[in-house]
Amino acid sequence: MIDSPSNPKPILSTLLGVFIAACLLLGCSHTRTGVAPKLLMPMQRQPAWLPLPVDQAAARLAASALVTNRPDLDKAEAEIDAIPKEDKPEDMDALAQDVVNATLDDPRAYRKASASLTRGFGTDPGLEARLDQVVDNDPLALAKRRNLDTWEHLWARTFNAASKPIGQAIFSGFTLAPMTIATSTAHYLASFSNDEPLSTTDRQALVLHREYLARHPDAPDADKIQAKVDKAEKKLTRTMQRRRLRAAEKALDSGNPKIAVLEAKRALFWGPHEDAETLRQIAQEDVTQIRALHQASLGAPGELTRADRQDHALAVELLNTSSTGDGLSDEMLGVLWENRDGPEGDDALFIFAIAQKESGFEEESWRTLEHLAQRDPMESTMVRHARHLIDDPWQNPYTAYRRMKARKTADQIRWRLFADYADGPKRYPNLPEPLGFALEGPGIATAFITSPMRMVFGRWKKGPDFNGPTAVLAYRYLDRYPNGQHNREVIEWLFAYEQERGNQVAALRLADFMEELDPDDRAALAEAASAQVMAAADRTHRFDRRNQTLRHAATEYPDTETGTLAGKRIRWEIEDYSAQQIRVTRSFLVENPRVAGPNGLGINPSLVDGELTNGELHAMGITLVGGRVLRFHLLAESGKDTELPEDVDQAISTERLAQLASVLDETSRRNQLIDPDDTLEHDADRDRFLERARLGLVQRPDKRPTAQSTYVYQSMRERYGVVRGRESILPFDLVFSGNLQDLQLGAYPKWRAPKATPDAFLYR
Amino acid sequence: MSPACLRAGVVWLTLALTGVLGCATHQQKKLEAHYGPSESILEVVATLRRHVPDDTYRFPPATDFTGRNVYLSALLRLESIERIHADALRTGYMSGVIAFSKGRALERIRGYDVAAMQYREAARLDEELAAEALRSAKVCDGLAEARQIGLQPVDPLDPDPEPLLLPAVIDADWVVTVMDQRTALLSYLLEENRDNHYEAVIREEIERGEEIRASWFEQHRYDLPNGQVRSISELQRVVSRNAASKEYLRHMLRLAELYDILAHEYVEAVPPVSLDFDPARFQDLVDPAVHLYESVASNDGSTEKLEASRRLEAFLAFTLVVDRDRFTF
Repeated sequence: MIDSPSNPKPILSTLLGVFIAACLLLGCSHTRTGVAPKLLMPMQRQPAWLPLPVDQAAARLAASALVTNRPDLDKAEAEIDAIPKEDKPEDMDALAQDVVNATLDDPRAYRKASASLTRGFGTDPGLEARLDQVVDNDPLALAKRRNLDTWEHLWARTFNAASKPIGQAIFSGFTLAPMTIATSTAHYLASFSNDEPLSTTDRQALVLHREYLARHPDAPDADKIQAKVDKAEKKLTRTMQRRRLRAAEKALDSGNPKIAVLEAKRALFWGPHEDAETLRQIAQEDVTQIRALHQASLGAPGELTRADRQDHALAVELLNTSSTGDGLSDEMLGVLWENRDGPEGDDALFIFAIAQKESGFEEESWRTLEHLAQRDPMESTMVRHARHLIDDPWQNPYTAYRRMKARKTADQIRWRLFADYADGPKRYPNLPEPLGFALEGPGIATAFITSPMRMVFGRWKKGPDFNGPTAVLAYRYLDRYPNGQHNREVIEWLFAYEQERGNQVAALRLADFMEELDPDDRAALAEAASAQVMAAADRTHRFDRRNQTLRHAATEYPDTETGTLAGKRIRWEIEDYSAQQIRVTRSFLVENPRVAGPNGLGINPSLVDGELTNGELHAMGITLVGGRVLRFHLLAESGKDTELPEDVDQAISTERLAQLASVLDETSRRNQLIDPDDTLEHDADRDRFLERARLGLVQRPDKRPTAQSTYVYQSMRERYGVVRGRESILPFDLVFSGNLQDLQLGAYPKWRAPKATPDAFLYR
Repeated sequence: MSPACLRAGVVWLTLALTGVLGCATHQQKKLEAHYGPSESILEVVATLRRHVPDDTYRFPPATDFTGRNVYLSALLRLESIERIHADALRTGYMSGVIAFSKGRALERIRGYDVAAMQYREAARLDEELAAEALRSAKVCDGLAEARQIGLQPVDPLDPDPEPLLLPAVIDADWVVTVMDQRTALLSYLLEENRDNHYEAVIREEIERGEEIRASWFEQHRYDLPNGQVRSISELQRVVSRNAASKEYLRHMLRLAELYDILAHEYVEAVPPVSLDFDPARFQDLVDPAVHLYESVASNDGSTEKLEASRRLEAFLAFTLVVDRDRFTF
């Protein structure tokens, strides 16, 4: 049936439907607060725009550059030149010239042309910065700069070696000047022992020279550069061989001939080297000798004795009981004890020790082995077995734990007394040790004298964790011997250690084995442990991992306050979760009106005009929360940025989102180009979201936690405050120093060594 | 001081101040200035055009001022400019240039089919670009066609992968035949494009085909007769045929890793404490792995250097724990 237009019922129901739909639509547009100012201005088409002659010429120029049509290119450039300045954009000439230059296929020619283009007055800073980067990216110029860096390092060292004693002499008088100058000169000369034939900066230059030759093999200066490369390569070989040889010598000295062989071989990888070959042979001989010792077998006696028959009986009993775990018979134990000082006494003692251990007399067993290990290893073959068992940290973790504890206590005392000199002089590792001691003697003495001060004031400073290795052995003991004799002692030590380093979770785990612990103390410990897990959750960036940690805190420590709070936080976080968290602060919008304006977000200008009466964005600005939804953080009624904002979510059109993504990306990258401090940090998830937003492909939010970006676009004011810190234009710093070694004061210029380039770690 | 001198001083001071203030205002204006549509596109075209002839087979692709791959950056920037200046670009005076530039960018990031479409669009829209655009479209079609031949790289995380290319379904001869067909087609294209930028693009594509082929043998080395030897020889083939490539160190590293994996697998299958352990056989795996790692680690300035040196250390540590009486390097 078809309703006639005169029938009022369908009209009414249609109107009602429209009304309900309108209500729903309006309701959806502000999901958080009931009343909100108008957030966005309507998108408007610009009035019809016809390209000017200069635009047409620019299009022809671009087309002819892309197909390298030289006559048309020149013609289009001439057309642009001929247009009066007032009829073309200010930077058009420079940009057109850059397009023409880009058709010079030789990078050297392009760099030269770009250098002359940037010299003009009033060049656009964006273009200038871009071309400067091109000009600076010259391998030969960069190589020269790196070579100069090497010299500047040397100069800085020389300058500082002279300026420091002179500065101190001027301030503190010339009485001690001869000594200060002599010390400085000695250190200056000694510092050359740390130099390598080819420095890191020279290695960078070598790679740049190689790149130049690879790119321009027919360059007129190729032979000259090749000679430089050859020279540097020889030095590089010497550098690497020297490094490997030093490592090999060190390994050999510390009783690791296998590693010495390895390092010597690595030295030989760089080419033949007499010392490396000799070292390899020596180390190889050591390895052979050690292996021969390992393989030494017991000599068999010429004829059987009564003792041999006893040995046979013992062997049979040992084999019979080996898989069942039964102990030796009392009779056999008696025989073994009787023979402990006889010709086969070592074997008897060793087996007796095993029997003791299997019977539960752990401590006695180790004492028997210790007794055996004291004997002469050249006369008894069992001594080495006993020694090995005692020294093996896996077989004998308790002794290893005790030894490590004593050793680390000694290390700690040495560190308290001598600070950084605890392990001896380390500044000049390539010099003979006595010379190192002589040079660093004053420093060592000063460290020793000032140790009481460090003990008093340094207690609040976190020092090295000396007890870490001891704890590893202690846990190993508990793991291997859950019912061991020394469990109580070890657990108590570990409990104190974990508490001292703030690992309350581990301390709580240990507390479960300490029956005597007060219940109140345990409850306090559980609270501290749950707080520790909560703090770990705070440090976790990824939502899912954080959630997992919070869940752990809530389930493991349900009876603590923090555990309860963790449970609540899981709920809040899930409720507030959004696929993206890309935020643009209010200050960024104000600083970059293009992003906020009609060609970008198109925000209502009253929200960023500083007037509270007509509504204002909170300092947090806006957040892209995934999909097409923007979250506007509005100032609360108090008008204070310090208070939490009132959030309003609003879905925007695909077109507006694409426009915002485009202008945000273009603007932030141009800002980075013009001002190196205005960096756009790398964030792949942010870039992916913006790329997809630009193409209108973000209808369905990507809810994977790993796809979430929390990038914040901040203004320069927010990043650096009102005044940005600047590096001094002077090549040196003015230093005021006081020296406890000789109680001298000084003021002197200290030359700054050139900064390492960010990729320097690839040249070490 | 005479009044004349004083006056002259004041005049100079005023002039200097005016100059300084004028410059500051000018600089401020420049910092705030943003390009219009024509200028923006010229900037992108200049950057892109400069890098079109680059030999991306031998050298890594250039990066622009933002640190991104220059071709990808050009594509993204063109798309941004299209959005920002949508109204101004509606007249279509730059449409041909934009489409052609997108084609040039897309072909360097392996989007050959889309690049061909963009070239055809450019040829339709701009007469000046038509001849070169159609020629480029043809090359891109050839590249897209060659890429479809034979094996395709497999996404290991794809939950719904293509039917498995297992040796039970296809054999090694088939793999060699189809991948040779791909190389033959690309070599034909290469002969036709010796004198232009496509030479580098085609060489890269040939290299990728060889890598895919070697990967197949590596993935199925346990299913093929002499599979281990075959996979090593396939990777060696990639190394030896691409000595000039920017990926040369990566290929060497991959070969070293295979030796490394084989050494681990051998120790797992034949523990050093067992009587079957053959030190000589183990040595055959250790020596080339160490040599290759060391070779890569000696190349300053590459990220592969770090990877190789760390892997070498790990590998040497592994050889040290192999039973000390059974093996000495």
